[in-house]
Amino acid sequence: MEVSTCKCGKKVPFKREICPYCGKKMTFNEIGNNAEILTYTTLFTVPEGFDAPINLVLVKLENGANLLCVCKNEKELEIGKKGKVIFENNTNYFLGNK
Amino acid sequence: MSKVYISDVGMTKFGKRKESLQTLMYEAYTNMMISEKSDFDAIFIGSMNPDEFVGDSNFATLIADHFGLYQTSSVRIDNAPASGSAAFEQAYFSIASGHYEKVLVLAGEKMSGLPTPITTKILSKLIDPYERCTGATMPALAALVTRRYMHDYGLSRDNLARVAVKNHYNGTLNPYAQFQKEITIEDVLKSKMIADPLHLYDCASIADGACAAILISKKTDIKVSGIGHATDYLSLQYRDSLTSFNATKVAAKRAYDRARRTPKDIDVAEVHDAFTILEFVNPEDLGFFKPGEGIPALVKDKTSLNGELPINPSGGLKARGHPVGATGLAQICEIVWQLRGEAGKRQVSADIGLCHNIGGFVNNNIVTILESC
Repeated sequence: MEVSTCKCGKKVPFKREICPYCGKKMTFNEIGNNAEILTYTTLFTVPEGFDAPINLVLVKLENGANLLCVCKNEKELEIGKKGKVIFENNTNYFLGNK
Repeated sequence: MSKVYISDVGMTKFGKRKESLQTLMYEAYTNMMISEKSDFDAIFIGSMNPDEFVGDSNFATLIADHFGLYQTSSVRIDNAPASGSAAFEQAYFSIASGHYEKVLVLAGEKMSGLPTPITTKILSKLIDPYERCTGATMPALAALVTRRYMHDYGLSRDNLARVAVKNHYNGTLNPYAQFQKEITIEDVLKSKMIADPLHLYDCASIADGACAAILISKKTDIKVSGIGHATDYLSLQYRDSLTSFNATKVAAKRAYDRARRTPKDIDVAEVHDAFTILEFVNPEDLGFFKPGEGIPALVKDKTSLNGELPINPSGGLKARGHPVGATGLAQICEIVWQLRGEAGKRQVSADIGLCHNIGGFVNNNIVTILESC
C-alpha cells in the first residue's frame, strides 16, 4: 500500500505533499496491505454513474492510516474483521483474508 | 467591536416549491414582520450551489437586481450546507467591525428541480475526491459513523429512529416545515434502505426554501452574543474519531468563549440533524452530554419540547426540510422566534439559544449563540 508519512507520526493514504494534521512536508513510502474493518455500510442509493448496491468499509491499515474501500463480498462486513487491501482501477478493495 | 443585534427574521415554507430561488428569497424577505426594510448597507447571501441546482451564476447581482436594491453591495457565500450560517457570520463581522450599520442576510436553495441521482451526485461533490471515487455519498458516510456509534455506545436501531419520531412530531407544530405529519418507529424502519443501517426517514430531505434576517447595530431585543467557526479534515479517513467531530467541538468553544457562556447556559438548540445519528453526535460535541449519554437524554425526553434542553423544536432538518444553503439561517429564524415567544404551539421557555450548522460531512461547522436582551 502506498501512503504518505509525516514526522509528526501520522500516515495518510496516497501521495500527499502536505500533512493534513500539521502542515509539514510528507514523504512517500509503502506499507503492508493488512487491514481491519473499523465500520461498514451497504449503499443502495448511489450517485449517477454507479451501480447499486455498493459495500463500503473504512479500514485501519497496519501501521496506522485509515482507508475507505469497496468490499465485494458482503460476508466480510463485520467490525474488527481482518483482511487485505488491493488497489485496482483507482479504487481500493478489501478482500478479507483470502 | 460593535455589538450586533437582529431586528427581523422570516422564511418560506420548505418543501417542493415551483417558484424560482430568487422568488423564494423575496418571499422570505417579505415574510419579515417588522418594517426595517430599507437602506441596507449590504446583502449577504448564503446559497451552496445555484450554478448547478438552478443554472444561475453571478447570483448576488441577480438578487440585488431582483429585490430592487440597486447599487447595494451584494455577495454570495458558499460554505456547503453551512452557507446560511456563513452568510450570517460574515454579516455579523461587517456590523461588529463598525463598517456597516444595517445589512440583509438571505439564504436559500432550490434542489427539487433535478432527478434524485443528479442531486445526489451534486451533493456528493462535498466529499473528498478519492472517497467519492468509491461511490460514497453523504448518507454513506453518515451510515459508517452510525454503525461505529452503535458498536461503541450500544445505540439500538429503535432508539436511532426516535430522533426522527421526535423531530417529525415537532414538525407538526411548525407551519414552515416540509413534513407536518407524525411518524412511528415502525414507519422509519419500513422506509426504503438508503445506506444500511440508515433508512429514508433517517435522512433529511431534498427541499426548496429560503430565509431572511436583518442584522443591525441599533439595539433590539435579540443580541448575537457569539459565533464560532472551525474546520475538520475533508476526508473521513483522516478523522481521529468516527463518533465525535472536532469542527463542532472547536466551533462551539469559540462561540461559548465569545459569548462568555457554557453549555449549561443554553436553554434551546437547533442542531444539524441531516441524519438521525447526528442528533446524538452533535449535542455530545456541543458539550450538552458526555459521549454516549445522548442516548438516555433522548429516550428520557430531555431533548423533547417539554424537556430540560429542547433540541430542534422546529423539527430540525429532518422534518423542516433541508434546502442546503437555507438551513443555517432557518435555525437562526427558529431560535429568534423561540426567544421572542413567537414560536406558537412549539414554544419553549428560553432566554439563550444555540444554532449548530454543518458544512460538508461535519467538517466546516458554525455555532451561533443568540440571547434575549
